[in-house]
Parts: sequence; C-alpha cells; structure tokens
Amino acid sequence: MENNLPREFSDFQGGILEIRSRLAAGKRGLRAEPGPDQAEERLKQGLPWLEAETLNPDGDFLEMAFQEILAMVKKHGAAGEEELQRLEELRQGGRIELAELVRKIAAGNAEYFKKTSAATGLAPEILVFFAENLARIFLSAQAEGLPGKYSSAWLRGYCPVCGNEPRMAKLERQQGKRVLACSLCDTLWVFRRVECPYCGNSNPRDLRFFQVKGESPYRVDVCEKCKRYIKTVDERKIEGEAILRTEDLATIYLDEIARKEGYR
Amino acid sequence: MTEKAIFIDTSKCIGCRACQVACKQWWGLPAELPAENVAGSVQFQYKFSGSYQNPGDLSHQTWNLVRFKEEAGSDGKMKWFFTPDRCRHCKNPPCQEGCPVPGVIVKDESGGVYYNVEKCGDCAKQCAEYCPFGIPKFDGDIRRAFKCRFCIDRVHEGKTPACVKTCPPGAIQFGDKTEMMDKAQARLAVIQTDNPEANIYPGFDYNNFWLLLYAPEKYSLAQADFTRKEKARLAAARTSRKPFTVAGFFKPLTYLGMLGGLGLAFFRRVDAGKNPEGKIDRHGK
Ligand SMILES: [Zn+2]
Ligand SMILES: [Zn+2]
Repeated sequence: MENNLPREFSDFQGGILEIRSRLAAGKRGLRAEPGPDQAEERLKQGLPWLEAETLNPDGDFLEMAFQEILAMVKKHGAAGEEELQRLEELRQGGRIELAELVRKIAAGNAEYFKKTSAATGLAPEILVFFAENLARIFLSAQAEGLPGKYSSAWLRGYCPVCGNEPRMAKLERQQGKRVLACSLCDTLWVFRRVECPYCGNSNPRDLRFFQVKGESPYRVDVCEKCKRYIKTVDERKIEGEAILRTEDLATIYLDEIARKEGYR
Repeated sequence: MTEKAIFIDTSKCIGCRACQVACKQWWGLPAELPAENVAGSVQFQYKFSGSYQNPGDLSHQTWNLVRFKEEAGSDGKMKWFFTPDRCRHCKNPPCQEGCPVPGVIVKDESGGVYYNVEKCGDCAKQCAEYCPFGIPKFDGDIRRAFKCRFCIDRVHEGKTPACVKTCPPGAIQFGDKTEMMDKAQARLAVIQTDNPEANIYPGFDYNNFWLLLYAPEKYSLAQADFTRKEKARLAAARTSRKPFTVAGFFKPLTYLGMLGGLGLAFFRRVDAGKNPEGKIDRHGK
C-alpha cells in the first residue's frame, strides 16, 4: 500500500523540489514586509510574521523561476499543452500576473483562484500549482530568518511565517514533540499533542488517529468536530530526519484513505 | 593547523590518471573492472573497447576518478574534457547531517572531511543521499561508506595528499586555503581572457575546488543538488505497478493538481490585522 507513487509523479515532484530548493537558496529578488526586526513583536500578538499582500517578489526572478517550473511541467507532461498555451496567452495579455498569484496564494485567497479560473477558463489546479510553487521558493527563503523557529513559543494552528495551515505533522525524534509543517512555506513549529490544529478542538473524545499498518511510522490524526485530518510521521520509527514536504508527497495514499473515510 | 585546501587547475590537467593510481596505491584499493562491465554505469558512453574513463563512476574502491567526456565543438571537431572528481570537502558537510552515528563523519581542522570507518556501520546510507554531489559510496558487503579522506594522516604529518604529490603537471595543488584561493583567483583572471566560461567550481565554501575552463557539466561534474535525499525518498515510495487508487490520477490536469488542488477546497490563512488577539476565525474563509 505504501509503495504506490507512479514513477512519473515522483520524478516530476523531485524535479520541482530541486528547483524550489536551489532557487530559495539563492535568496535573490525577495522582498516582504514587515522586516525581520518586527517578527518577534507580531508573533507575540499571534500574527504571522509576513503580510501576504505586501509580498513583492522581483519580476525577473519570478519570471526565471516560472520558466524553470514550466520546463519541468513540460518535460514530464504534467499538464496539457493547450492549458499551458492558454496560460502563456493570459500572461502575455496581462490577465494573469505572477506576483499576484504569489500574493493571493500566500493570503489563502481561494476566492481569487475560483474567480480567475472561471474568468479565464484555466483549470484552478494549474493556477494553484504555479502559485504555490512560486510562493514556496519565495517564502521558504524568508522563513530561515525567523526567531524562535521550532520553539514552543508559537503553539498555534497556523504558520508563524506566512499564516497558512499546516499540511503534515511529525513527532520529533528527541522528545516526541508534535511539530507541524506549513502547507506553503515548509516552516516547522511545535504544537500541542492533543488538539486539532484546524479547529482548536482539544476534547480527546473527538480526536483519534488511524494507521494503515501496525508497524507503520505513519498515522492520520482526525478530528470528529471539524472532520479534518492531518498526516503524521513518527520520527522515532524511521532512520534520520523526516522532511515533511517529501513525506507528504510520498504518502498521498493516506490522503486517499482519509478522504474515503469522510475527512478532508 | 591552518585551514588547508586542494585546488585543481583543470587548465593544467593532462588526463594522465596518475592521481587516480596514486590514490589507490596509498590507500591500498584494488583496481576495478572496466566501465562497460560496471553494472548500472551511467558514465560509459564509448562504443570502442575500453572507455577512457575507468571505472564508470566513483565507488567504495575508487575515491578519486578522472572523468573523461568527449563532445563536438562549435567547429565540429571532437573535444575532450577531463578532470579528477572527488569529495569537495564541504564547509558544513550535509553528509554529516545525514549520519545517525556521532563521530563517524568528521570535519577536520585541516578542512578535510573524513569518515571513521571503524564507527561507520549498518545504516540507511543517508550520507550518500544527503551529499548534494552524490560522492560517498557504499560497500554492500561490509555496509560502510567510503570517499576521499583528504589524506588526513599525511596532512597531519605535514605532507600533501597522495594525488597532489604525484600529479605530473602540478594541476592538483595543496596548501593553506587562503593561499589556494588567491592562486585560483589569479589563475582565473589570466585564463578568462581566452576562456570566457572559466569558473571556480563549486566555490570557495569548500576545501576542494576547481578552476574549470567551461561549465561543470562539460566535465560531468555534478551540480550541487540539495534535494537528493528527498528524491531518494520519493523513489523509495514508487512502484511500477500501474493503477493508483485515485480515479483519474493519470489525467495530466489532476496529476499536476494532485496536491495543489487538494488545498483549494479548504485553504485558509489568518489575516493580519483582523485578529488582534491572535484568535483565529476557525470557520472563516
Ligand atoms: Zn508558512
Ligand atoms: Zn478539528
């Protein structure tokens, strides 16, 4: 059950990860507000460090990143030629702007993607895919400068850097602390073990988890109150560090099961 | 000890492989089968008997390998590219990060990175996966990892590494890192007039660097890829068994939107300013 990633999918996603990692390491053309000096103060107030609407990625850098991702999509045939052609036309016509995609995805503005999709005829998946991966390059480079990262000071259900939801969790090797990973910027932060990060429910009666195999390092925590789920990898049951963005990709079979079970 | 570095001046390399032989002799490593006989060799690209590159890749028995590559130039003439390939001796070695046993992987004061073979043991080969250049190689029989050791014992005795000592044209140089950097810079300035693509590879954050006349890929030198461990993880999760449980997964669109699209239904973010108390509108958006 675990080993079921189609080869094309894993090759494609591996290529995308490489692009993200390399471009984020360059830290070029990345601008955001407020500055790192204000991060601590904002976190104290329960606000994520960055304000999504102020993200101002350098145009040339974005274009370069877009072209690299696009080349990878084409190489693996991960999107139809017609869709990509349409995207190019919309970009040329100024109806889709990369920096805007980055801001809207960082702001978690689902409405924007639905509307843009309806207005342009472009599948929302295409828009979200490019938006997410561009934003990730930009945000994960920012996240490194966060004070108190991985500490117990935050303890909220959303990312201290960009304010987005977690996508996956791990129980870390040393003390078994529950660590969440941001769905957008890969930032890690500590969270309470018995609480749903999505709705704040901490009643143990509504919180359960299921596992596919008894010995598996993976489990899926579910909340009966909001019907959300989050995949978790127990680092004490694997060798080495769990890199959650990769674990997330490697365990999409668990998403399938969770959704079949009625969680989302 | 002051920090040392190995500087490989590719403009002086004649491809004689004396460094490769010297490395094997000093460390008592056996010769290997020709490239065409090495299973899974990706470097073998010559049809005629005996590749110039031998063996096909670095291995647990070959820690220093002269890579050869032939390519047609713009004038249509065949051109040879060659240079020795080995560990770059990173400033903060990612392989060390990947090793579960403390003390196996050492970043020495000399700048060299070496593996304590006695402590190295049965593990998940993460050093190899964490290395952005794919340098460490595993001996499947004794389940231990090997790579260039910076000739650490020689260096501590005030000698130069075996490959440096033997290199006939003096292409491989060794000394204080600052001195080597100065040499590389000065040489680059001279070379660049005739070779605009000349570059320092992979950079000065390493204790082994090259002066290359052309881009690294011309020499089959790997570009740093810090996601190799992640790719290995994804590769381990895949199968050739076709049907994935998600209906329509293989349609290009869903395929691309597999994860991005999932988020669309419920992605939500805390809006700055709207939550002065830091309380999140749990059911908002
Ligand atoms: Zn985030
Ligand atoms: Zn919940």
